Amino acid sequence: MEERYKILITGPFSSGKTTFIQTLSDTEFVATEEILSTGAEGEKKYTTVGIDFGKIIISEDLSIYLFGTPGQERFDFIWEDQINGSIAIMIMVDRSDFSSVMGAKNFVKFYTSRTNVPIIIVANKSDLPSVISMEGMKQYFEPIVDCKIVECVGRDKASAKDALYTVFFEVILNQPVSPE
Amino acid sequence: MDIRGELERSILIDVISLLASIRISGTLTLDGEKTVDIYFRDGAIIGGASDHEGVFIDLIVSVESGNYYFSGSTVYPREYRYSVNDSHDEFVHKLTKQMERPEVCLDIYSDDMLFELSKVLNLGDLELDSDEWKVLAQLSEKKSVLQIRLALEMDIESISKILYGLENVNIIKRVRKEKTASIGFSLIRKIRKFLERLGG
Repeated sequence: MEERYKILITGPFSSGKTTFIQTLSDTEFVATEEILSTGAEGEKKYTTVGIDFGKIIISEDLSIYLFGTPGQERFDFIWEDQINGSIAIMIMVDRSDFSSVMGAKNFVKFYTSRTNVPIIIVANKSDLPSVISMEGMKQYFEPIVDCKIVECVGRDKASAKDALYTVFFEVILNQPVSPE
Repeated sequence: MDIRGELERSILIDVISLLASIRISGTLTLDGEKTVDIYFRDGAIIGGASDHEGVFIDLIVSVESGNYYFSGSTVYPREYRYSVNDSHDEFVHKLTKQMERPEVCLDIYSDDMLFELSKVLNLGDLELDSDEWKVLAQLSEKKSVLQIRLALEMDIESISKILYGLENVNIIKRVRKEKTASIGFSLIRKIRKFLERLGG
């Protein structure tokens, strides 16, 4: 019988959650995107309004499901609902966007105080010019939460997988008793 | 990188903190009912100017709506109206306390949230008031917001404002809930095998 586990992919608007899930998914990707109702937030034309969904097949009897939340705060009731059953939370941040990094702080605070599952900050879009340095990211987030910050290019499969492996390591390390 | 946006809620504290984290130099302009320039050198606030007269922090706080934008430069006016000698934390602390906006804090804290003192507790030159000291004293061990409230007989609005101020200058931090064995060993074994296959 297949075991199924869930990793929550969250983060501010336009941080690359949908693309990240799409890149990693081994099966047909399910998106819940709608045309943006306002043009105020950059060039992005579509935004997630429900749950994006992808599946990673680890072995024949184990699959990891990736659930992407909407980034806008008006959907925060979904953020809370989705914590249940998650083995880890990845907070995506557009490292090239100052407001995305600031916005991620709210996500970090939101999840830190609500769950003890591992939280990993994914410094996404690292291939873009003029990104915030990893040192700067560390300085900004370190006082709020002890967690890994990984560089990532979400549309690159190898890079996205590296970020995912970091999550797997954190899941193992987070267990209170070392398993045999 | 384009650093600009709308001034809303408590965003100014976040803007200043991030500029400090990336140790950038230049001018942060707050453009609203007044215009206020804040000069940064390697992330530290060194001074500023405004088209209005007054106490510098009061001027900053009074720009409640409008836009902010940052221009990176290491060149500052030869003379500027306001010099800032406070440390970053002290400046942010004063700013936070001046922002008498309880609505900013009220939706942030819930009774079950746990807090503790930061690992590196550097009070530096912070001027804390008596209520802030009382909260810090409570946090000599991990406590929930409710526990602090009951011990100090404070309402949620007062305690939220204090926690908000102390959290912004990293004197206190949120505590993650205790680890629990939320996943089975079988999953861990399978993930380990998977990582081993990858050479991880």
